[in-house]
Amino acid sequence: MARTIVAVTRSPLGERAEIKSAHYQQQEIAPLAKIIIRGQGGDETGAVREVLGAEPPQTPNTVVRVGQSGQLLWLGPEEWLLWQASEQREKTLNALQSGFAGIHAAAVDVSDYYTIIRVSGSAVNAVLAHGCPLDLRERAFPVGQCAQSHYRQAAILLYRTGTDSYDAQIRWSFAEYVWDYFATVAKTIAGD
Amino acid sequence: MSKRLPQGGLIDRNETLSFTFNGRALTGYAGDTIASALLANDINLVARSFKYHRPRGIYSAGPEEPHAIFTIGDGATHTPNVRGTITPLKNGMAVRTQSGYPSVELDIGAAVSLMARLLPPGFYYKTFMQPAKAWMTYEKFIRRAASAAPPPPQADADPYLHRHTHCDVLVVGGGVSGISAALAAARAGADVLLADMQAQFGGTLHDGAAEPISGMAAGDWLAAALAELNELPNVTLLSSTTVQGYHDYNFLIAVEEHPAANRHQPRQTLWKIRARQVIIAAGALERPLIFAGNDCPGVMLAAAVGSYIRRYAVLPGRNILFFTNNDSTYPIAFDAADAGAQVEIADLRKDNHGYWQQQANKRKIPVHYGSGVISCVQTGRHLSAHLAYIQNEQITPHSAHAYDIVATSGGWTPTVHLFSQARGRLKWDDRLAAFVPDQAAAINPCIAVGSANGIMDLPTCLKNAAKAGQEAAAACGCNKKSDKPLPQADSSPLTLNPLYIPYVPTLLPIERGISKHFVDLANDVTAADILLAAREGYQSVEHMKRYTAAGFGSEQGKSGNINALTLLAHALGKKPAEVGHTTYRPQYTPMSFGAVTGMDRRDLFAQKRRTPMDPWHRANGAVYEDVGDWKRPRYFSINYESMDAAVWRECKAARETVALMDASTLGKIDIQGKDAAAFLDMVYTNMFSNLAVGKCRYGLMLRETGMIFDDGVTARLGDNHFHMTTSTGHAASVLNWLEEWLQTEWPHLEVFCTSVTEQWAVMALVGPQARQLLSEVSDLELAAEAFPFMSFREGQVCGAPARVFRISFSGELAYEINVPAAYGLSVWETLMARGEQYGITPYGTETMHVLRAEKGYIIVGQDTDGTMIPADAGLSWMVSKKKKDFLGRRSLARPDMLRAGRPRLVGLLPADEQTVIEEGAQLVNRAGDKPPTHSLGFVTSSYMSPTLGRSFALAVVNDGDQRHGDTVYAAMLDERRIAAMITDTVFYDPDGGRLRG
Repeated sequence: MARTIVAVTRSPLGERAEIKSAHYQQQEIAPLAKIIIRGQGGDETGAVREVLGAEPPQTPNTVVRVGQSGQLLWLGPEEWLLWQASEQREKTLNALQSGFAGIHAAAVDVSDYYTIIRVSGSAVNAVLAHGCPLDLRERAFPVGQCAQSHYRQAAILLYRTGTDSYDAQIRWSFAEYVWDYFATVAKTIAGD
Repeated sequence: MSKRLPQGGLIDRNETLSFTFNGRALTGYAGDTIASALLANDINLVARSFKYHRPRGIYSAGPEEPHAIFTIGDGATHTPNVRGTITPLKNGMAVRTQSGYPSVELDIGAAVSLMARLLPPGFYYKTFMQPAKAWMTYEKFIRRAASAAPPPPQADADPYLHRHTHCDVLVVGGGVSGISAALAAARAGADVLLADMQAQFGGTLHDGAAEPISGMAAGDWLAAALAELNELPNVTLLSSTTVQGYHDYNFLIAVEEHPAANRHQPRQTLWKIRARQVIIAAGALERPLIFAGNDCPGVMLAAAVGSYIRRYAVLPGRNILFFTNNDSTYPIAFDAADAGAQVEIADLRKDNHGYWQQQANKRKIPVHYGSGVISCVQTGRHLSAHLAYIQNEQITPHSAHAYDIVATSGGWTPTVHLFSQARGRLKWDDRLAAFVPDQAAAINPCIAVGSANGIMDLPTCLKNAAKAGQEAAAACGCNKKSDKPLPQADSSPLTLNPLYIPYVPTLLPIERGISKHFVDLANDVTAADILLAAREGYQSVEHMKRYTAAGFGSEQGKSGNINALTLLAHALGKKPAEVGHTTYRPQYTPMSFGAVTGMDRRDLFAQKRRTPMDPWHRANGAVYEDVGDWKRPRYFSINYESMDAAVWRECKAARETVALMDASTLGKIDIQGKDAAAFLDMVYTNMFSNLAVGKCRYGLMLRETGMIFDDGVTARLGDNHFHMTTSTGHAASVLNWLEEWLQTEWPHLEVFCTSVTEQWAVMALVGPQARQLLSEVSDLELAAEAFPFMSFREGQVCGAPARVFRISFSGELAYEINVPAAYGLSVWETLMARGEQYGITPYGTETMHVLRAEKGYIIVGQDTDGTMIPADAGLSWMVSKKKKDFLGRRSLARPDMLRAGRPRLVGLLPADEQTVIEEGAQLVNRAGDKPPTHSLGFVTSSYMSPTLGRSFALAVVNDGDQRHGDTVYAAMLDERRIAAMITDTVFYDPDGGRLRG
């Protein structure tokens, strides 16, 4: 009987319509697999290379490409975050966990913990600078890097995809707050 | 009669602005301030003074203005305390005075002047001290008398933005020095931010004639410099932006005023600036001379007259006496003469610099050397000023005339506010009779240039500022060479040469007679008040300030403070350097609450954390409770039923059929590593290393003090893998606590802790029918022996992959179903639909509280308060006797932890079964005990129990575990005393048969 029940998934911002104006765009991207990788720069480096074909970056706030569309982001001296297409989640997680057997490392699934809001447009830096204290000048925050900070009361992870575009990872529970804050600030900047 | 000059000024005569002043329709031009537009309309009476209710006029053209303070707008745009001298006039603006009753023209409070002798400094301290209860009445009277404006009647309709920014060099002030510094720094390649509080850059270049710069007319040079700065991509120009505060590590706050064409555009932007280097080019403030009657409407700062003529094309009077002690007034007097005014100069100095004397002679402007104004009184629309030769104490009156304006200058005070806020040291400069910047604090790399640094001549200002700009850029690693010459000017005849005297004497000694020498115009502090304060023993400058209120006005004594402290020095026979200065604090000018608040208002006021099932809650009558940042359903109201009714219904369902609660907010931490079990043995009081894989255990955490910190259930997922839960409010602090120990004390332990709080949506399926319902939607084997209490299984629930923990916070048969958050809503909806046949009832935190209290389960932070050890909460059984160590263990052996009579958690049964005692109620021994009395303890949780059919409570009572059966009395807020019997904490199913079943 139980097998006949079909569960459906949703994202925290599924009900929010994409924002598209001349100077600013905001959308929740399709869910990604998100896996936290922990290790102390030891044996896990090889194990990660084995599974992902890339080593965890050692330079703070840098990101390496994984496969066609994945990214491995530096979060801390012992912590990385893997973004991958959602269908790869189980396979990668299992492979990492078996690769980490017997070594001091961990792979933890946080795919549903967070969602990603993609923001772009000529106003995007002003929208972010309203609530985020990071130095967003490109020489301090180059395209292709990531940084953790906050946006007003919410923790935020920014991955810069272009001069005027970012992927912002936020917690599920804060998603509406951050979405609405971004949107309200963008509207005010545009003066409409 | 209009006082607008036929030509000139920075105003746009093609754009006429309409506005009202106290209801009277007037016009001005784009580019006017409120004050310049009023002066142009021949209006100068703008306020009644703080204490004596004397009529006051527009005094300055800047942030130091003590009088021209207005309320503008109505309703949602009502803004009180607007400084008219720096606020641009806008079309349709409604400007109102905010002092004087019934009006500024006729103020009945002026009768106070007749009693001036009875209002010495400290009057309010001395008079309104007793009785303390009457203060609220006094306060209303004082507020009215002090002309404090009423607050806005409605919420502000305008939005306000914030903006974080980072730069290499922040230049504060866009006058000649600031522009020179900005040019030099920008050409060297630094990211430069240049801010000026005025709408136009250029500073004093707009206020008077200036010498040529770099071979160009000053105006042309300014235009060229601004054009270059505008073109440079590494320069941000912020006009109408006041740098308000200088905080440590070069963090500065600035407020930018926007023209705000409509209500949707921001009124202001609050800039939060991180600068590697700061150049303070904030200029200088003119200091007035202190003479008898120096507060009459028509007495103004001399440079303000220059500003009104040059910037706004307004000649404030036809007949102007300039009363000065320095050179800076001469070119302004010449401007006034050129604009058509009759001008005279009274100069305290006996003989003047040759250059200015020649210039005055050439223009046939009479100059009274060695002379000062010994009295100034208002007669009709004119000022009657008496002039006398003043030499030492000798006063020889020589003439009296009527003037429209008496313009005064006592020299210039460098604007050292930001430098001092940055903890820079100031030093006294005898030449300027002012404090000037000395040594910057190492943590705030900054330098003051130009007149803000006490440099009063153009060539040196330009040269030093350019050098500072280059050096600041170099300090940021920017050394680009530029072939463009730095700005320079030929030597200047303007050298200031002030002759300082503390005040201008009158024929009578200063503390006699009816004339007053005002030192602080905003707060009506006179020279006599300062002298009295010194005599009464207020010899520290900080004490004098607080006693007399000098410098306490909303302009913070920008023009008057320097006179107050030099006067104090004079009274004490000391040098000003010995007396020192009061503390400069942010903000430089008053800031709106709107700018501070930004967008943190209405729905965005605070973060609201939502669970994955929240859309269902919202659609189904959830009444929310704030738990930390979370919005949790407190109960679900059907057909507007009350909370009591809803909780009754929800409790019944949980105990009798089946109920469902969203428990997603619980903190969850994934703990992995070969030392994970050993680590948990250290952080919990009880043993975890002997927990079997697939099992759960309730754990208790203590601080090093031995006090209860958190509790929760932890499951063993694998040999080296645990899933810890924490209480909702402690999710972050528990993770920090674990990391702190791992990183600082036990780095040898191979353990990783990762927060997974929101990865999982959690539902507590509770009640006798829970197993039946779950069996219909899950592939798990649920029989009690296959899936016993305190174990967990993985499987499918409602089509989603799930971890199901058989744990219970309700005392019933219960399953905590964890599914990845994306499935949460779907699983919840399926459970609700499939459970309908069993009467499934969603419940909230209030019912959860009742159910757990019936079982005597504590909530850390509600039933414990950071002073309770496990034994106090009845949890001695949780403390392992086998383990050699765990956090807090040693503290549990301290004598006070072992003494008899400690507060202990107990149950309470009120004698009246229908009375629910208030949570927090104090407990006393006898019904008749009234405060002050000895408290036995207090009630921590109290509810009506549908299951027990009566009220019950948990409480902390001294020696409570030894007092079961005693009756105590709970003191209610309405003075009732409720009798209640002390009992055990477990009221329901003490054997636990139901939750194990």
